[in-house]
Amino acid sequence: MKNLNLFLLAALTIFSFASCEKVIELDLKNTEPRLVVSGSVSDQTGPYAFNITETIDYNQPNDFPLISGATITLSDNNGTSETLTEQSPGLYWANTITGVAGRTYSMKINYENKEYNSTITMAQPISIDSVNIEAFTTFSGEELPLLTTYFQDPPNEKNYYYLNYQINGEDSGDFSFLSDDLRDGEEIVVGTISEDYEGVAIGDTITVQLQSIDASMYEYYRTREALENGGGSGLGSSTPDNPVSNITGGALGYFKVYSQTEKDYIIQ
Amino acid sequence: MKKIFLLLLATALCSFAQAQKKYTISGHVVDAKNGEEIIGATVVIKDNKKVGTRTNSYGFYSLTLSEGAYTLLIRSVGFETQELPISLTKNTTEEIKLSAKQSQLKKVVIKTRKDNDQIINTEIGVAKLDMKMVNKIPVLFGERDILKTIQLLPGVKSAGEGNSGFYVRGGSADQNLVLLDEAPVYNASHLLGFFSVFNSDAIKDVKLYKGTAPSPYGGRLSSVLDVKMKDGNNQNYSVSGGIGLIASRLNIEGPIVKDKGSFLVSARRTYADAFTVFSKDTNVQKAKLYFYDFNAKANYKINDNNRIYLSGYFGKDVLGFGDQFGFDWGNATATLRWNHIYNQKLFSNTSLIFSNFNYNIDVNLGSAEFNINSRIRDWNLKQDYQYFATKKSEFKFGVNSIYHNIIPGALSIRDDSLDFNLELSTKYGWENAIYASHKYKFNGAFNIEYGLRLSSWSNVGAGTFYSYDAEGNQEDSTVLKRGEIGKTYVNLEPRLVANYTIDEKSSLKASYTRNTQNLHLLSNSNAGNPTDVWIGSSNNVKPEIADQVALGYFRNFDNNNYEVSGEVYYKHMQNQIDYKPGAELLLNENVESQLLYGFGRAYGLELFAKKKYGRLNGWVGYTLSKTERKIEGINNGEFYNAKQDRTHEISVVGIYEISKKLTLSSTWIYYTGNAITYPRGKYTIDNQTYFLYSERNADRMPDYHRLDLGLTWTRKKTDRKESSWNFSIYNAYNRANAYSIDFRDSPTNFRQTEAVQTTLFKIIPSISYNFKF
Repeated sequence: MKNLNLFLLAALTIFSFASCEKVIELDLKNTEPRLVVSGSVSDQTGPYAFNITETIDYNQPNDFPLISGATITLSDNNGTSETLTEQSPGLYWANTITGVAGRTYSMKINYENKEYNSTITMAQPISIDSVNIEAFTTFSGEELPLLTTYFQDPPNEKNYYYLNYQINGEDSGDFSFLSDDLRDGEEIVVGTISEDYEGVAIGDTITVQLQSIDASMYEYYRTREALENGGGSGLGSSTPDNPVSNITGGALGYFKVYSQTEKDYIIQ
Repeated sequence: MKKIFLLLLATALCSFAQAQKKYTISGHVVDAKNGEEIIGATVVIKDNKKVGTRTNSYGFYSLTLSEGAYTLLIRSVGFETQELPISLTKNTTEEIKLSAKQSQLKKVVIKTRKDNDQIINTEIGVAKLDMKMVNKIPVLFGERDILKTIQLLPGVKSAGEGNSGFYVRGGSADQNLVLLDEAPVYNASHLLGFFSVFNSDAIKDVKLYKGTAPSPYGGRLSSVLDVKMKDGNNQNYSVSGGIGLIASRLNIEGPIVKDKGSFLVSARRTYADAFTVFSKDTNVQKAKLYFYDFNAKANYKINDNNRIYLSGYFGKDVLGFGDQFGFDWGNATATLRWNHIYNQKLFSNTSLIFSNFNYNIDVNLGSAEFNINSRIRDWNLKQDYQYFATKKSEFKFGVNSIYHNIIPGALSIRDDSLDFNLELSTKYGWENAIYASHKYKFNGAFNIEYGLRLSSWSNVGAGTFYSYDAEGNQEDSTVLKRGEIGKTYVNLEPRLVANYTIDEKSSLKASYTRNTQNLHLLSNSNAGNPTDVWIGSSNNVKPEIADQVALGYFRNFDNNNYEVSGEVYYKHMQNQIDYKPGAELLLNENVESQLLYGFGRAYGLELFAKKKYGRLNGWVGYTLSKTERKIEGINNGEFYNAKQDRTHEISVVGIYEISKKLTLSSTWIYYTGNAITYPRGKYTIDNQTYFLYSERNADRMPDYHRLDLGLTWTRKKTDRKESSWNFSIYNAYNRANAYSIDFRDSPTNFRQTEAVQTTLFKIIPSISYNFKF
């Protein structure tokens, strides 16, 4: 709804004496650093990577400390357990454990006498029926390419999806996520328009990776997006809060457990 | 409840049994010029000013005295005081006509006693606006506005630029009951808050109760803003209006039958969009942005004891872009009232009230259409009695029943292949109340007004009502058949105000009030939006309850020329609502699963000094306050500042009559910046930088202050004709106040983060022309 306000404000400024922006100095309070975790296990081939960093103060340059010396243990409900090896500072790899849909995975991190935990069951993979490019007409009558992905949602269960889009095998930066609320058991179409596809030429391959994620991961993505859309401080924005993490113990970030299928589209 | 009524009646009847013969004088007090009934005029005995009464909302008074000869003094702000000698030997009906006060300059100064009403009345936490003053106060774009003016009074906080919501004594914006001729107005703002829905041409009287309203009012925690429309001139036809930079107004009133009935029609429309055709940019040409208002009222006096009123309001905001995008929203209200005077002591009013608020969003992309709409609609029946028992004792009692019908949201998407409809289930609620209150003057210096209000809320079928667990999962559901009554809440709300009049110049007042609220506005933006959702109390959402105690000292100086007051209050609020992070409120059938509940507290000190008469008049107000919430799931369950928390707030209003033709006015306001959550740090994840947040609302926006100036030049003024120019400057010293603060990577050094402040309005001059004939 922030967009609504902005639209109106934009409309108002057409007639009025224009709002203005300026950079101001704010003396913000600091807080204790917190651990930031991003790690995933999937039904794709490993090794599975875990990144650990730490928060920094607002007024520092963007050099985020990579955390060495954390002990990460990954285990599944099939009796396998492994302590991750630190590949480079802040980057930890799981080399032996394999991801299988339906199994439950637990992550335990020990760092500076604090423990962080998360346990998640891997959802079943869903295959993509088709990927297309369709035309989308905007307000101004301009036609934009809309990348659409079609797949069938299984009925009578809650499903959550994350779609990652790649161009010639590289992450494009564009992604989508959704739940099957209101669309349970139906054919689902996900469309995306993004400037990330500018420069894509005939012969290029777009790969859509459809990931089945769990409810807590969906909640993380959803609240993170809400923060991006409603961020800022003041009227017209909602009160910002950290995205809801699925890791206990006060860490930021996520433990993502997913299964994946993919389909290519070659630009013609 | 029945018992209490009987008890009250018994007290009333006892006073009849006194020996001496008593007679009643009653009638209406009206404006001699146009027949408008005067609300709140005081009628007192000249020789003993402690004995008297005041006119009710319909200008009716009733005073019972022992047989004998008296001189009555009839007073009202802005009118010449009138003396009326009477010889009371039988029950008498007397219509009293008051003449408007002439300009201060014309008059030879006579030492007359000015009114000390605020000392002797049993009102605490009440703010009144004199409409004549409202019209002189400078405002944005020259559009005078009662909502903006009321925010200049202590204890009332503006929600900020771009938001006509207001906060009263630490309550949120939805905790204000805004009434237009008794009809609740659900969204009192135009253009997302730059203007209010009240067209001041059509407004007669404005009164704000800061959570201390007597028993006839109920349904909201923080305040009651009671706005009453003019009845219309029953003597002559009159046309008035104004032409301003962004809006024009026209008001027509006149008699239907002279002295018996009158009508009023008032309209206003903005035309900022009219200029878009001149733009070279085709996109700007397509933009639509306007609002309009329409007020109408008619009344007719059938006979001395019966009078009917019909009043209505209709307004709409329209925002759009060509045929492709349309967004409109608006209120509609209608009130049909019947005043009946049973006898000289018993006054009755019956009202049938309709209120509606809806919005509609249309997107048309040629191949696909998309629509969202939502609505809240009420039918409301009120029966109020006022019984003027003796010169010391007055009763009010009545019943009220409101049927709410809420469509929380409906979405439809249509294109070649798809026809998707999502309609959230319609919610029905039934609100009932019965009340009684008694105002009593003890011998000596003590006055009290106390009462009880018994209120209830029921969910009504057809519908399914869910219960949710702490995680927001559906736990249980109740299915109600059409018309079936479901979950019901009953609350007893005691109210008490006591006045101890120390002497003619000073008094002490104290009050205790309990208010409950069963309609809650869900809004996850700090500024209100037309798309915010109203929900009723339910299995999950409990009635909000506020208990407020207030204490005030009132003192007049210099022959009542100056009024000074100080009030302190403490308020405890139960079942307050906040939202889970990233709460989805729009088009969510399970919207109640997104809510968190807890309690709140608010306390403060309000100081007010007003100069009422003379060439220079105006006021200074100061508020020191704190308001906090404690809600499980937010801020680790610790107290945090509510978003409306502001420590200091100062307002200064000055109006100076330079000459008979020129009046200069100015307002200056200052307040501590809003409580806000700033980032405490940052981190990186998935190749993006995110901010780290910690305690809720523990930071402050920069302080806000602004000076507005206005100059009114009256070109012509006779009894019938009037014309004037109004020049105003909003934000005269061009202060860049913060509307919002955003954080981003610095464009010059993108490894560094910077804060960017957005300011909405810098200096804005405006001009308008007002006329009357």
